[in-house]
Amino acid sequence: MDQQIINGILLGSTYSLIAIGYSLVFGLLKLINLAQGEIFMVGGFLGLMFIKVFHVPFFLAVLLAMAGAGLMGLLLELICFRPVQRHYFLAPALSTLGFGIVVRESIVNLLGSEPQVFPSGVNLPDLHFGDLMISSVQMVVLGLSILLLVALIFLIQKTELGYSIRALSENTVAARLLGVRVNRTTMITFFISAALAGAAGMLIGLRIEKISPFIGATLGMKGLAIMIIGGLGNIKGAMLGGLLVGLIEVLTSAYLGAVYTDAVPWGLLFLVLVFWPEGIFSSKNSADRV
Amino acid sequence: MDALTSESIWMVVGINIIVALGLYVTVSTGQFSLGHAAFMGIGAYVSSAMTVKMGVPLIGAMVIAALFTGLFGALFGLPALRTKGIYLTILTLGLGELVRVFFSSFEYTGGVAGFGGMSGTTLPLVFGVAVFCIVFVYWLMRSLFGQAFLAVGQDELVAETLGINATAIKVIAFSLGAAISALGGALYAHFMFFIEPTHFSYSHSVLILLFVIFGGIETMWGAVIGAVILTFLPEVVRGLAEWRLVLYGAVMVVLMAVRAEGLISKRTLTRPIIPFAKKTDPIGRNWPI
Repeated sequence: MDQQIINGILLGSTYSLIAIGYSLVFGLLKLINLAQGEIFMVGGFLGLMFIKVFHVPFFLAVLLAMAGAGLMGLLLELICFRPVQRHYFLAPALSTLGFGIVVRESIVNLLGSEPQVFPSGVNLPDLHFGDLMISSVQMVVLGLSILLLVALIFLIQKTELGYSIRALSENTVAARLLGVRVNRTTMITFFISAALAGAAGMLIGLRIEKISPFIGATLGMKGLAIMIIGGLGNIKGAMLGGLLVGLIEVLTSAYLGAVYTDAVPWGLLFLVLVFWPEGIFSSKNSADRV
Repeated sequence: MDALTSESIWMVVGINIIVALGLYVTVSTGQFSLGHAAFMGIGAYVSSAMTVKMGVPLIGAMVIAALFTGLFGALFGLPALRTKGIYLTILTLGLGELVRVFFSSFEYTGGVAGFGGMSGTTLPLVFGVAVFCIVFVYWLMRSLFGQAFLAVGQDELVAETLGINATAIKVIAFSLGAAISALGGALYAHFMFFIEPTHFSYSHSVLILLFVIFGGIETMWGAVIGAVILTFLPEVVRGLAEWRLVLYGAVMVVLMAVRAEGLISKRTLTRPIIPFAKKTDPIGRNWPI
């Protein structure tokens, strides 16, 4: 049981990273980025490429994957958000959906649809606490996730960029009047959001030791559910929601059967939307349900 | 042009028209669904179980599957329609995943391994059902019900002040859309001879939505035209079959930037197309109908 809880938290920390990526963009633009899952997948593939082809050390590969994914986020902002007409509320979301399909199917056509083996780049001993065991891979995944989450909280709460992002998500017009550079801040937010997804893709690849082009459509979409469970556009909610879903998934897999794990975030989403429509960890600033 | 003479491509066209019309009925009330393949899947599994395991004739199985899925759509709609906009869209996405998980673990219809043994779809049957659906949706959208659908899709609050029960209308539209898609799903199952849960996953839902969006969400003809063009395009243009989905994705991105209302709008049906003409009325509203 204790071991399961540890596994759940480890899984959940990766979910948190994905969900925060959605949350950042939604908080800022009130728009859903449906290509986030594919960026997450591309992050994994980029990391794989750097390790396998260029023999880059693991931690450098994580950074490079984050940078690559971040650049893709910028591209996405330029293609799918800036030029898109806003009079259909779903238009930007559909545009990102199309972008995601192009990315995923291109990778399927170029690299094949089979999952690729992800080499373990970590050579550290496993940790033992009595009966509990945390493998070195799990430790790296958890350590990196926590590091990224703390860095993000610091960035959002303490830096000038963070003030800009928070001001923009509260009121675009007022923020612009107060001198926030809207376009630049939006682009940086997209970069951060995509870079986090890229890191998550890398960490998932490391943990399950393979990466498939379809991982964005399954795991990535779960991030969407988690974001709403935690409270739309709420970064702390996304973190806690990720841990909660990871925990419940692992427990479901252990006691009910692995087949049901994919149902956990969506079942939870139904319950949350029916009983706590603002999300479990809603804040005062959370957006309207329109 | 072998593609145009092959019987199976016409069957796929017919099935896609039916499913796209199902989604159109739901979308006309302003509810975008990213889980319509789930309704298709329920229709496919229910009808297949009836024809293969119980020996019911295909037509009867289709009718029962449509009724069952319509009821399911209404039951799903009741709690889900408390939510709006992007929330509802994500919930339907979740519905698709939940239905897939259910059929993956439901051993009676084969679970993950899939379910086979269906047959009996013929071209006249597919086209008969497709024409029936076109006529039905045409009649529906001209009836008071259809007008109420469009009113709710335009502005729920205004519709309610006009005495329309918006919640009831949304549930009915959801349920009807589910039932029509289930007909398409039933035909799909008996055309493919074999179905598995992943056939009806997220990517298929996206494809159905793309038919409707590409053709134009403002009129039912958009759904029909979208399904026809996007089904034929990769077959007619050589070498495109493999890159079909990439093409679809790119079409979606370009369309959203250039013409978010889709290929044909209500205006297109009544006036000639004027490129780059302003598409708003004097007060700046975009009227979908």
